[in-house]
Amino acid sequence: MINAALQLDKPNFSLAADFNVPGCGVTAIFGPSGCGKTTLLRAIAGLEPHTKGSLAVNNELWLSSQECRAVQERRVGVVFQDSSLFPHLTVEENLLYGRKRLKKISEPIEIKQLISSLGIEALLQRYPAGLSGGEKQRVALGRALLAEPKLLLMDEPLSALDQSSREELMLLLETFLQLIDIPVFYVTHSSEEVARLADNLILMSDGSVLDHGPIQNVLGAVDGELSRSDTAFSVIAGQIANTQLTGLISVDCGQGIVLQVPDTAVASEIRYQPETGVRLRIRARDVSLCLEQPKRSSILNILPAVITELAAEPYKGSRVVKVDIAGKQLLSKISEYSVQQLQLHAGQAVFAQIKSAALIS
Amino acid sequence: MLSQPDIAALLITLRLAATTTAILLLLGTPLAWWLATTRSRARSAIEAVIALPLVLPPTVLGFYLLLAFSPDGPIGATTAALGLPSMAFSFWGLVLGSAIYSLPFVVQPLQNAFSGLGRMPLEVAATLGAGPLDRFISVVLPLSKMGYLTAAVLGFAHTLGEFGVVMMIGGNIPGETQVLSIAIYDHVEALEYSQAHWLAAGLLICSFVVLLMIYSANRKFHLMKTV
Amino acid sequence: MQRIQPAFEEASEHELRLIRGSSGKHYAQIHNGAPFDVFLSADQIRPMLLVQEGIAPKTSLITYAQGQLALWSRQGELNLNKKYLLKTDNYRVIAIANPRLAPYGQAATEVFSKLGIESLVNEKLVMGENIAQAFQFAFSGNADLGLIAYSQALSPNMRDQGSVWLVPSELHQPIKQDMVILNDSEAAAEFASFMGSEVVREILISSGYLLPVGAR
Repeated sequence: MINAALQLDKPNFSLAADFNVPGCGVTAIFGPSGCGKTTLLRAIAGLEPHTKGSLAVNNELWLSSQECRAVQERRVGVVFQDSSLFPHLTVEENLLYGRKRLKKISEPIEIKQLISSLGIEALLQRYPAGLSGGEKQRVALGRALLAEPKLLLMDEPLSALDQSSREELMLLLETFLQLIDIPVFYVTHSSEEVARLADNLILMSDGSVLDHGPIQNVLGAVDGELSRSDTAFSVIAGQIANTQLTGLISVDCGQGIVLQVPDTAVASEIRYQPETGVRLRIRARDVSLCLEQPKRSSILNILPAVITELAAEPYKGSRVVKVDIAGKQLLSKISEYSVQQLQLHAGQAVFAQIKSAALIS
Repeated sequence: MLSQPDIAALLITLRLAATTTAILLLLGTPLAWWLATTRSRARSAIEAVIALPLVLPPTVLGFYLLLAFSPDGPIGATTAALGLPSMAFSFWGLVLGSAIYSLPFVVQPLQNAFSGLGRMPLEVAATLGAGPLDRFISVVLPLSKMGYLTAAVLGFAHTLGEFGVVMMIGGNIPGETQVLSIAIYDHVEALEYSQAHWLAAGLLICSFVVLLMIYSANRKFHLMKTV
Repeated sequence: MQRIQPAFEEASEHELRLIRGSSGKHYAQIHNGAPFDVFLSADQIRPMLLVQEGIAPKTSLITYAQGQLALWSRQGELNLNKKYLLKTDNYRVIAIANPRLAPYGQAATEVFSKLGIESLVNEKLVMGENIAQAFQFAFSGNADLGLIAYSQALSPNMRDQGSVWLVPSELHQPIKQDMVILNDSEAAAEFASFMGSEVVREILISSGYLLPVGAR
């Protein structure tokens, strides 16, 4: 477990973050710009010396009222937003900087294997100045991992990259972060990154934690802060079914549910082989509810569903409704007027119209 | 050609410049680091004090040093109490004077170099397990190479050309405090223009060679980095 | 000169502008065309050079004063005399003006050799670039003794301080100070003749100078 109760007061900002998340898997720290995500990450790393409170990471006490463990003693791996590589060292020297400083090497990491799985073998003798943004971030990730951290912190590692290298690194992270067995904190303001990477979620706003827990719980809470916001979304897992329709990909979500999503990827033949496990991100505002099954609609995905929960109160004229589609939970955000008109209530059978769904991996 | 006292003056000058530069780099490093990183209110005051030699005529510093070295001045009283010889008219007195006078030329480039680093490289090094001293040696020093080079060149060159302070506290003792700039002045005053030419040209060439060596070494360093 | 200036301006309708500096520097400036009217040197060599170079007329070359050398210490109530100077254990550091540049420095070395303490004094010697700086060394106490100009010891600020011994003039060559006129302006001629007046003679004597022995 990672238990934190952190306070930090800065001239124009104060952070108050209390949360408990599992000591493994990827925990996304999610929220709008300026909400204190990065400050929280820095406080966890020990880079904010005036942090008060307590912090324990898998039974190691890093911060309490009695002691504050120095950064270099915490063994955190950090991947910063933009290049943090030492410009005076080669890629290889950068990679080994932290490892050389380990008191004892407990895990015989296969350095070569790590380097090749990051795709940076060819760069070892180069200096950071000559690397692309994506290459730099991969080296930074390798450098952090080679130092055998107890916690890996990533601060919007994709934000400084262009679209294509972002996608490339994203694919790498999806597989990579599942393989390593240390907890990862991943700061982002992109719901796509949350949907693709996170197992747990810490939701932040104005320097404090609004909600935290396993991603499905946080995402699916109809009264939660995230659900109220414009970015409310659901994630449904499935696998690629045989594609028969041109321009569309069929995703089999089990229980006979098959969703059609537009094939936006350029190299679809390579990436979407049948039976590949994928996740779909469906925005709550893209899901509407009907009492009768619409006929001859432009909307492809219309599925029978049962309302399980309604938000207790409307928020800014709309209300979040959670429906169950053959065991999958989906959020829908509809106007309060419609809720009243259709007299929606829990247990009611409806049809969910999914206007669009994004295939995220 | 150069006479025996002139050669002695040249050697004294080089020794003075080298000693002063070495001492200033050593003491200037923690001072510049403190100035680059502190948020203390005292910073501005300290910066102003360090920059004073830039605006004051050297004779002001020389005059106060002369008074401080005297038997009832603070420095003179201290050296006497410790049983040490007086600093006035001595090589180490000149080192002290030159060090104060060249201080801004060493501290400012270092401070700029340190400020230019930003906190990122140090924070990264800390997360990778490097302690404070380790961070300084493995990250700050190599990344501040240019700053150190500039500081060393300016400190050396400025001490080489120092005249006012040395004149006030040196006493023109051959082989001890008679430096090149004083020797040149004496030759000019005594209408010995050809000897003055020899020395002045010697100083010129000497300075040029030092600077050339440093800048070409620096160029090589840069070329190596970009390959 | 500070005392001569007001006296001259009172006696004449001309104004006097004083440019102070070392004789060597002024010589170099005049040599290169500096627009001075009169050059009062601290020695005889430089005015002579200007005459030889044809910059100043030979007829204008006169000795306007003769300096006196004094032994001075900032410590009061010292019995300074020849014996004190001879006994070199009495002092650690003695300041003189650079003998290559200043006539007072030259005179000081003559005193040492006349007394036969040249080699003993040599390692105690510090040199100022000029006589003012030599006095500074002695005044600050960094030098125990200074062989300086008697006029310095008699200057208003110093008159009541330290100990002084007027070095007998037979111990060194006379320190003659010459002047030349550099142009044929009326003011320059008037000033030159004023320098020989009774007023100036009195000022010179009370300031610690001797009167020139027979103008050339």
